[in-house]
Amino acid sequence: MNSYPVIKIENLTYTFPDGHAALRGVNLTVEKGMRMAIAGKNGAGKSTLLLHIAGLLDGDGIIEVAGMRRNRKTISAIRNRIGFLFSQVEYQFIMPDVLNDVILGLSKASCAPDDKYTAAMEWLSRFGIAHHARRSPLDLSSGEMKRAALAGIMAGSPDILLLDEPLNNLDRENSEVLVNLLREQETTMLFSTHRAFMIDTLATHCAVMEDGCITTVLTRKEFKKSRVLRDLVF
Amino acid sequence: MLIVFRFAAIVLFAAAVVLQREYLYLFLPLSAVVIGAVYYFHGAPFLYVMKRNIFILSFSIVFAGFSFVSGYIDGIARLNDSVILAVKIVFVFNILLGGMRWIGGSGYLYLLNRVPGIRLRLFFLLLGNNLVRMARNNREIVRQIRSRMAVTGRNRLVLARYYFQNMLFRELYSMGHSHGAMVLRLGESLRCYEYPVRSSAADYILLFFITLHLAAGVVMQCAQ
Repeated sequence: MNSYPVIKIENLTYTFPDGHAALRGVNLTVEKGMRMAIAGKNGAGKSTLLLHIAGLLDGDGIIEVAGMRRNRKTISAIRNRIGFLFSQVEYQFIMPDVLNDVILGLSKASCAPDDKYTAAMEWLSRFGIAHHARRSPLDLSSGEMKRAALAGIMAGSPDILLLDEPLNNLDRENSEVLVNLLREQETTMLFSTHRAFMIDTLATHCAVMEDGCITTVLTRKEFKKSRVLRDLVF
Repeated sequence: MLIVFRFAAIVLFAAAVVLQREYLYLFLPLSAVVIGAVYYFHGAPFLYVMKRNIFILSFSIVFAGFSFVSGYIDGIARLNDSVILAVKIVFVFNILLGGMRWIGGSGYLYLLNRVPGIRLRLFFLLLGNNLVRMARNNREIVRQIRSRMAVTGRNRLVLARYYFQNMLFRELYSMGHSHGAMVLRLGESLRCYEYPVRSSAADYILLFFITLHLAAGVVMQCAQ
C-alpha cells in the first residue's frame, strides 16, 4: 500500500463566535489506508476538528485533503471526496425513504441511472437493512439509522470517511455490527470516539486530543500500554 | 400515469365538494361514503382518522361560528349555511388526508420528480423532513416541560415561553446540521427513484365512485 498523507493539518486554530477557543494549533497527518481514532474529553475539540476537515467550519491554519489545500476554489472538490457521519445522524438524511437516500449518495459516484436501484439495494443488503428500503429513515431505530446513513455515505465511494462518535446511542450488539461493517471498508477513516472497544477493534492509530490540541498519536502497539488513552475511553 | 389519475380524482372531488351548492343533503352523505371507501381500501385505522380529525373539527366549528356571527351582524345569518360550511371543511380535509394515503409514497416521489428545478424539489424534501422532525420535537419538548414543572395554575402562563424557546433552538440546531448534510451530500441530481405502481381493484372502484359522483353533481347542476 502506498502511504501518503490524505489529510494534513498544520497549526489549525479556531475560536467560536462566543470567544471560546476550540482548536489551539492542531497538527495532524493521516496517511492513506489509516483508520485513525481521535480520543479526548468532551469539549476537547474532536467534532470541531472533523467539521474543519469536511469544510463546514473555517478556522486559521493549513488543511490539505487528498492533495488539495483547502481554499474557496478547492472546497467543493474536497467535500466530494469526503463522507461524513454526523453524531446526530437523523439530520443527515435528505430523501424521504432509505433507498432514495442511498441513491442520492450514488449520484456523487459515476453510476448509470438504470443501475442505481440495483447498486443501492446491494449497499442496503451489505448493511443488513434492505428490508427497510421503502421506510422513512426517521422511523428507524438508532442502529438501523446509523447503518442507513453509512450506506448512503459509502455508496458515494468517498476517499475519506469522517465519523463523529459513530457509536453514540448504540447498544453492544449494534455497536459490534457497525464496527464490523466499518472494518470491511478500505476507505481511510478518521473518527472521534470514547469507546475502547472501537479503538481496539477498528483503529490502526489513535490521536489523543486535549484542550484543542493533539497531544499524542499512538500506533496500534502502543494502545494498550498508554495510560493516557485508557483514562479517556471506556 | 395512474398517479396522475389518482391526483386528478382527488382534486376534482375536493373541488366538487367545495363548489356543490344544490342537493347537498344527497351529495354530502354520498361524499362521506366515498371518503370512507378511500380510507377503507387503504387501511386507515379508525383511531388514526379520528385523531387527525380532532383539530380540524374544532377549527371548522370555530370558523362556522364566526361566519354565523358575522352573518348575524349583517342581518343575514343562516345557521344552515354555517353548518354546511363546517361540514365541507371537514370533508375537504378528509379528502386530502385519504387522498394522501391513496397516492402513497410512490405517488409522492412521482409528484416530487415533476417539480421543476432542483432547488424547489429540495425545498419540498426539506419541508417534509422538517415537518416530521417538528412533530417529534413537539412531543419531546412537551414531555420535558411536563417532567420539570406542574402544568397547572400560573405555570400555564409561562409554558408558551419555554415551549417557544426550546422549539426555536431545536430548529436552529436542525438547520445547521441539515445545511452541513446538504453541502456534503448533494450531487448534481436530485431525482428520486420511482417505485413501480400497479393498479388494484380499489383503484377502479374508487375511480368509478368518484366519476359517478362528479357526473351526478354535473347532471344536478344542469337540471337547475
